[in-house]
Amino acid sequence: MRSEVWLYGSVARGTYTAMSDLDLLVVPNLGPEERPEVAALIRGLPQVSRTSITVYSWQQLATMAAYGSLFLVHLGAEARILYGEGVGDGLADVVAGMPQYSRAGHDLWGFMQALTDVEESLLGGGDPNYELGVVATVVRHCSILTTYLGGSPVFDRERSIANAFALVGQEESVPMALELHKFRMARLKRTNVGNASPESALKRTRTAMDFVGEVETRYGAA
Amino acid sequence: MEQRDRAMRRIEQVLEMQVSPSSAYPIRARLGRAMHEVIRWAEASDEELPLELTWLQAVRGRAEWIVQPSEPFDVRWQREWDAALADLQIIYNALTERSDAGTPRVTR
Repeated sequence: MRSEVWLYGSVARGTYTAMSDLDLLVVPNLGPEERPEVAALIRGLPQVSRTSITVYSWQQLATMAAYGSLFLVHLGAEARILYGEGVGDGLADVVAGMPQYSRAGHDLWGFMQALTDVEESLLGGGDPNYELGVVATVVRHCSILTTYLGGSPVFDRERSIANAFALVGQEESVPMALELHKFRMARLKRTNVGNASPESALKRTRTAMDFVGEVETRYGAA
Repeated sequence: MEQRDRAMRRIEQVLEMQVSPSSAYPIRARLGRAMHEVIRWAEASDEELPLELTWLQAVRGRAEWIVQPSEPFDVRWQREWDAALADLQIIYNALTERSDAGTPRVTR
């Protein structure tokens, strides 16, 4: 069976910072004889804050390819192969000829549901900083989906947000949307960002809901 | 709303949601929030917790792994879901018993 290791995300794009993750896809689990070689390859990559390794089987990737998984679109757009050994189809073969992504409607519903939960949490005394981290994640994912639905998928965080808000005519909300990222980082990397007030968190959540709502209006039937 | 009640409500929001591919996204967010609220309560509380704080933190760690945004929305999250749900039910049962029993002193 073929084994592959792929690099994706900001390091693959060359847009990483010290706070970035090193994102690796491994298909399927590597054998003991392969691990030293792959470990040496990883050591040669830029040193960032954390290594995130995602392991899939070929069968799982085939299942995802059948509905045009955005994750696979992402990999097809920017991933770089680090290691490949063995016979059989590889990731490039899996991605080639994928159909259009068919779960956009489900995703948009999920984004709005997640933001509705944030709103309810904030109104019930939830932690504003935590909730803004959730909003940041939703905005990021919805932005990537929006650029895909708009015909030019972008996976870089800042560019996807700027392009997506422009696609739905909400450019004025881009600075707010970009600023949300610090709350997500605070949660993941335990950095200090000060305390957001419940009122400001609620306002930003509703701005995000307006964004997702507009995406649904324009692309919901896609 | 008291912190413990809030934590219980957030757990209920996970347990009451039908698990399906389309609900994967919000339910993962709910799982993360539920564990955040449980830890928030446990760390601030003067009550005796019938579960070890270190275990709760380990559950939160696993939950954060499941809900981390770099993971795609599809098959990956399902792998650890059953285990997370079982942990959550244990926590919920413990909180329910604590609600019934009053509020003794904390041990950590």
